Parts: sequence; structure tokens; C-alpha cells
Amino acid sequence: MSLKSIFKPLGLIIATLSLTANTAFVQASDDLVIYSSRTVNLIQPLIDGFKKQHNINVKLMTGKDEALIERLKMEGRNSPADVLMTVDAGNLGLAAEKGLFQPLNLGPTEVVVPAHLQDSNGLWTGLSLRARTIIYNPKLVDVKSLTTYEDLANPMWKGKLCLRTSKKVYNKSLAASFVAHFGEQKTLEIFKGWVSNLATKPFAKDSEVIKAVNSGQCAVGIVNTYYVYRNQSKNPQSVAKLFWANQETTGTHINISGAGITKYANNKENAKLFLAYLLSNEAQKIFADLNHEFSIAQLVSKTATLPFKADNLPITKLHTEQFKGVKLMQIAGYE
Amino acid sequence: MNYSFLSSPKVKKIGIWGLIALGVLPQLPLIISWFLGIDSNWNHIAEHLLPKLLINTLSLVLLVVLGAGLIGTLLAYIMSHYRFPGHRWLNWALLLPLAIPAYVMAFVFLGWLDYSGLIQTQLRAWGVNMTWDARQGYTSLVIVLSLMFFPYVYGVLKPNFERTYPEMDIQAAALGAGPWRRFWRIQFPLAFPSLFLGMMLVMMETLADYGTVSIFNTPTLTTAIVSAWQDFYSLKLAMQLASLILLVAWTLFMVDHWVKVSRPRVLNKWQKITPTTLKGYQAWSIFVLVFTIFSISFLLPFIQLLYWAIISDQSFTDSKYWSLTINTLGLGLGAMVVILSVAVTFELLKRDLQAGRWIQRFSQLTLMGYALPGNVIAIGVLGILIGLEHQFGLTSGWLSQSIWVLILVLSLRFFILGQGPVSNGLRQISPQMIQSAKSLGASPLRLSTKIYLPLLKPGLIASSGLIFLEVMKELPATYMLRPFDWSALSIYTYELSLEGNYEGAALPALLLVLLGILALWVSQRRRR
Repeated sequence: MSLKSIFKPLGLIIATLSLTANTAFVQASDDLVIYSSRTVNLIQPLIDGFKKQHNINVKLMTGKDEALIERLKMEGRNSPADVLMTVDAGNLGLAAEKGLFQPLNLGPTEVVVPAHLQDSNGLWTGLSLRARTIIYNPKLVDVKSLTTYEDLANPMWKGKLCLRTSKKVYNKSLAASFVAHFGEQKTLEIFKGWVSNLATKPFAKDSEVIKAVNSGQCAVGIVNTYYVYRNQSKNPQSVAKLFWANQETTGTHINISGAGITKYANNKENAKLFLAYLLSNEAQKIFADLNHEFSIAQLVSKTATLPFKADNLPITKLHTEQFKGVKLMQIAGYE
Repeated sequence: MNYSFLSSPKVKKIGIWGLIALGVLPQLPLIISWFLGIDSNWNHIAEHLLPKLLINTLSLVLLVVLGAGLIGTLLAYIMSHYRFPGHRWLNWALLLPLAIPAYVMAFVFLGWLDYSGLIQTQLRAWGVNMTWDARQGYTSLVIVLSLMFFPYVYGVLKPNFERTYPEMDIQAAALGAGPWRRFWRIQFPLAFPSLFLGMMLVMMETLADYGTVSIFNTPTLTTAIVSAWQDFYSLKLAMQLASLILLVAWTLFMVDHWVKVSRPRVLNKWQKITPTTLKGYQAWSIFVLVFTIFSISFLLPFIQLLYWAIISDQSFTDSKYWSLTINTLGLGLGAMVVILSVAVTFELLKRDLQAGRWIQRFSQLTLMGYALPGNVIAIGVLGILIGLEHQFGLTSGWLSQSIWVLILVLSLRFFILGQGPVSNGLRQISPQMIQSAKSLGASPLRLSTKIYLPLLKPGLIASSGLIFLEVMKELPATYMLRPFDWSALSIYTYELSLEGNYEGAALPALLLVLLGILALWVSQRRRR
């Protein structure tokens, strides 16, 4: 019987692989463990800065929001994670709702986060701001005709609008803010109007919307601003311009990237140190420079350096109203 | 160590059912999900999303299988029946599209063909206004997927087309059938089970595809699974949707079974065909045809990646690319070893036990992983392992966050790629051969090294290449299950392209493709 002879070499191979395999579950207990949905290149400089200041070792695991949240939930009290960092208030709200965070109690920090940009129960805090607004092609659009997100549902924009997929969390949060501001009925009408105004079916990425506006495939679009800044530094000849939406009314929609300390964190004190570091002036500057985002510091400083009027809706609404918003987009046929 | 207990039929039986149980593991959560009640969002989904999802999914699967089937069959016919300049290298180069990850191919294609893409932009600059929207409808999506998946059909079909059946041929010729008619009435029907296997692989790949359809923003069942999880925060709903894919896959396997039993057994008396050597303009036009398909499906995308990689801000000399490459290589080799050794063990057990109907039926179920998106398998297995950790009071991550789990999940996903060739290979080894070797006193070790290994070798080598390719391209499961601070080329490509930085993503993607070429080259070397 030849099975036996298979088992011997197999055993050997497994033994060798076991020895060489990179199994990382053995970890020193005072390492700070971060689960993050911000990709490595957007978070590493912050971790480096923190390490330099506090000499604490950091372990990072990046992943998709829903996967990290599900994992935390499954791991329960055994979880190695100390901090969950994610983008979008909806994701933070979801993690809080599932009982994955503990109260932060950070104490005084260098940069003070305004009440509407953190959890009402003190379970998570915003760390940086991203604005989602209108982008237009000046060759095709008179800037005076632009006003609000809602107005893009007006038939005058027929065949001129480009959008990103409704599956992207940025649009889901934008939808949530509509529900909070305008109610479900009007929100549905806005989405129906948008869909009938589309120049082409929604794109997979913001960067494609920018390209399409640049090339004239569409006249207007809705994107996160840092994509535009990034695009401009790469292609200085691009014509697409930002327009700050809803300045006369609700203010331009903003979202946050943020973090909370996990309920079963092993290193609560280090986690607090880390969040406090992220709210220092040094880290806030890294946030802003790294990804062309806006820092919380920019919002709260007296010499108001935000170039637009931001929506001051309590950011928790982006979570509580998101589900309704998503369903409305789907009903309207916004893919 | 004494292994003699392994010879007892009881142990073997336990072993085989154990392996089957492990193989169907990823499907359990999908079935269990239906016992947790109907998700409250089903009404909304059924009313607003499901019709479109089903239409998109089924249309894509049918159109892609048609497209890939036609291209693959045509090429298999040409490459087996004719010789022309360039035949030698095109023979294996036609498998190269498999080395390009689907999402990479998609963004390369849109980079050319979309409104803001290279071609239309240039045309507009010349004053030609083209109004073709590349992302609308199924056309370009089907083209991309067909170009990516035709090598499966080509690969399995060509060896069959290289066979001829002299007895039948002579009789048919005597009855006045020309060469073309003889091909259609004799060779083709006999090759049909292989064609169907190739098409089944294509269908399952299409069903499980997430990368390409999401870049085209075409909603399918696979994207719906992800959005059930992301939009509705309902894993239950995601699992229930995934079970629809499972249903389609089950159906495919039943049809496959029916195809196999309803077709005549392949006759033993075959010869290698003598290909026609083409000359002059015929030779060149065939070369141009084949080379064009090769260019569109591999060469041009490859050059595009190369160009992007050169102009990008990423540098090849960055040390992280070493570790990314090593990790990718290790993962591919690990999964390869696991899949092939399990496949050999499994098939030998089946053979020793002269497996009955039940074992045969259930062992088919272990192949379903191929049709399931990686994240569905990953989250299912993750749930089970974390449950075990809780049960036995283990530190979290001891089971669930190690490279082994990742290898396990990838092996479950791609088991079919090892099982097929191994079971085909074993079929060529007759039990009589083993009996006579045993009666001459051959030890088990000698049996393995002198009979099993040499006869299985070609199949093992070919499938090891395929397994390696698929594993290194895989993204969702790898992204979810990797250990801390561990990354691979596929993950890094994805993370860079996430923010639309396609030029940056091109370098890790290019390294992926190069590893893929290497794997294909190694696995095809013996066959040439």
C-alpha cells in the first residue's frame, strides 16, 4: 500500500513548512495591535511617528471594514486587537452598535474634537475629515449654475452627471446625510433625478469620475476632494474643478476617518496613548499632508483654515440613517 | 514509525469520510444560514435587486462560456492540427493569459477602451467622435472575461484533439466523409467531456469573479454577496445569496456527471495525429490570427503594465518587493503541496476502497469551492475556527490567524485543480499492474517511486502550475486571513489600485504576472 510512503515525505514537508512559516500569533503582550481599514501606505507614517515618540511596538492588520468588524465580533474577549481604525462614520457606528468598543476617556488632547464629530457615548472619535463635493468641467458648465447636490437631480443636468457606484461607503454616508436633512421622500426623488441625469452608468472609483469629467464625458460629478487634489498634483493640465456644494444651505458633506479602543483591549493605556498621539498637532499635520485630507485641527483652529463651510450634522447620523439611504439608492435604481 | 495501522480498511474509510467532511466544510455555513430564518431584507432584495442580479449573472456565465469556448476550441483545433511558424512557443504562450489577475486585466482594458481611455481620447484629438461606452452592456465585459478564461478550454481540449482514432477514421473515409466531417463526427464528440470540463471551469470562474465585474460596476450574485455584508450588515443574507451560487455549481456538476455517463467511453485505440504543415500565405494568416489573440489577451496588457510600472513612483529595488514576492511564492508552494498530497491520498483511498456510489457522489462536493468567492469560504472557515478557539480556550489567532488557515482555505477553494489531473492520472494505472508488482515483492516505497510517481508526474506538474497561478492571484480570502504584518503581491496590488493609483499598482501586478509565467513555464516544460 503506497499511502504509507506518501505520509512520510508529507510529514517532512509539513514539518519544514511549519518551521519556516510566518506564524505571527506569538506576540509580546505589550505590543499595540491595530486593526485598520486604512491601507498600509496611508497609516504607516502615523505609526512610525507614534513609535518614535513612545517607543511602543505596533502590530498592524489591514483589511476591509466589514471583515475587520466581523472578525472582532467573532473573536470576542480573545481578540488581540486594541484599536480599530476605519474610514467612514457608518463603519465606526456599526462597530459601536455591535458592542466592540469601550469608552475612550482620553482626557485632554492637543486637538479637541468637536462634539458632532465623535460618538455621543464616547466610544469612538473622528481623526481626520474628508469632504465629498461637486466636481465640474469649466468648459462645459458655467459655475454659476451650480448650487447643491439636490439640484443635480434637476432635468437641466440630463445626460451630464457622473457618479460613483452606490456600493461605496462614501456615497452611502452621503445618502444618510440626505435622509437626515431632507427626509426619505425627498431623498428618493433626488436619487431618481440623479439616475435619470446620468451620462454613463456609475463608475467603480472616484478617480474614474474625475477622468470622465476631465475628458468631457460628463459635465459634473460628485467625488471626495483628496482624489481631486491628488489628480491635480499628478496631471497639472487637468481641467476639472471643485465646487463646494450647499454653501448657502446645509454645508458641504463631510465624513471622518476615526478610531475606537476595542472592548477587550489588552493594552488599553497604550491604545489611549496612540489615539492621543493621533490627535496631536504633529499627527494631524501628517493626516492632512499624507492624503490631502483635512485635519480636525483645521476645523477647530480659530483661524478657520477649512476652505468651505462644512455640514455640521452630528456624524453619528451617517450611521443611523445609512441603511435607509442605501435602500433608497437601490429603489431608485442607482447601481 | 510504524504506519501499518493505515492499511486497515476501517481507518481508510474514516480517512476518506474525514477528507470529504473537510472538503464540504466551506459549504456548511451556507446551508446552515437557511436554518437561521429568512433575512428580513429578502423582500427588498427580491423586489429591487434580484431580477437584475440573476439576469446579469446568468447572461455573463452563458456569454463568457460561449466566448471562451469558441476561442479555446478554435485555438485547440489550430494548434493540434497545423504546424506553422511560431507554433512551438505559441503552443504554451496561449496559456499565459491565466497569469494576469482578472482585476488587472479589467483596468488595463478600460484604460484603453473607455471614453477617457487611450484610444477614444486619441480619436477625439483627431476629430473623430466615438460614442461607444465601453462599460455599458455586456460586450466588453464578456470580451475581457472570455480572453482571460479561454486557456482553460484550450488547455484541456488540445491533448484530445491531438488524438485520432484510425479504425473509425478509415471506416468513415470509406463511407465518403472528408477530413472536416470526420473531425466533427469523430474527434469532436469524443473530446466533448473534456470540452465540457473546460467550460465548467470557465463557468465557475465567471461565477466566482468579483474583481472584473466590480471594476465594470456590473452587479452580479458575487457583488451582491459582498454588498449584503457591507450594505445590510447581514452575514446571514450574504451566505443565503452565496448558496444560490452553490446551487448553480451543484447543477453544473450534475450535468457534468450526465455528460460523462451518456457519452461513449473513450476508445483505447488512438494515435497521435500527424499535423499538416502549412506553407506560404496560409501559414502566415494562421500565425497572424493566433498571434492577434495572444497579443490582445496577454502581450498588450503585459506591455501596458510594463509601461505603467516604469513611469510609476514604485521602485523595483524597494526591499518590500522581495518579501512580497517570497510570501507569494511560499503561499503558492504551500497550497500546491497540500492540494496535491491530499488529492493523491484521497484518490488512492477511493481506489483502494473501490469507492461506492455514496463516496463518489460526496467526493464531488469537495470540488465546489472553485465556484464560491474566496471571501465566502474564508468567513465560513474563520467562524468555525474561532468557534473552536473559544471552545478549547485557546488564545485568539492561534488557529484562526496563521498562514496554515490561509493555506487550508485556498486549498479548499482550488482543490478541483489538483483532484482532476490526479484522478485522470490514476485511471491510467491499472490495478493489475499494481497486483503484479506486489506479487513480485515490490515494497510500498518501490511501488510509489517506480509506478505511481512516474505515471502521475505529468499530471501533477501540470496541475501544480495551475494551482500556483490561481493561489497567487487570489485576493479576497488572502486579504481576510493573512497573519499580522504579512502581505503578498496580490494584496499590495489591490491596496495600491484601491485609490485609483493604477500606475503604482502595475509594479506588484507585473511581478505577479512574471511569477505566473515562471509557473506556467515550469509546468509546461515537460510537455513541449
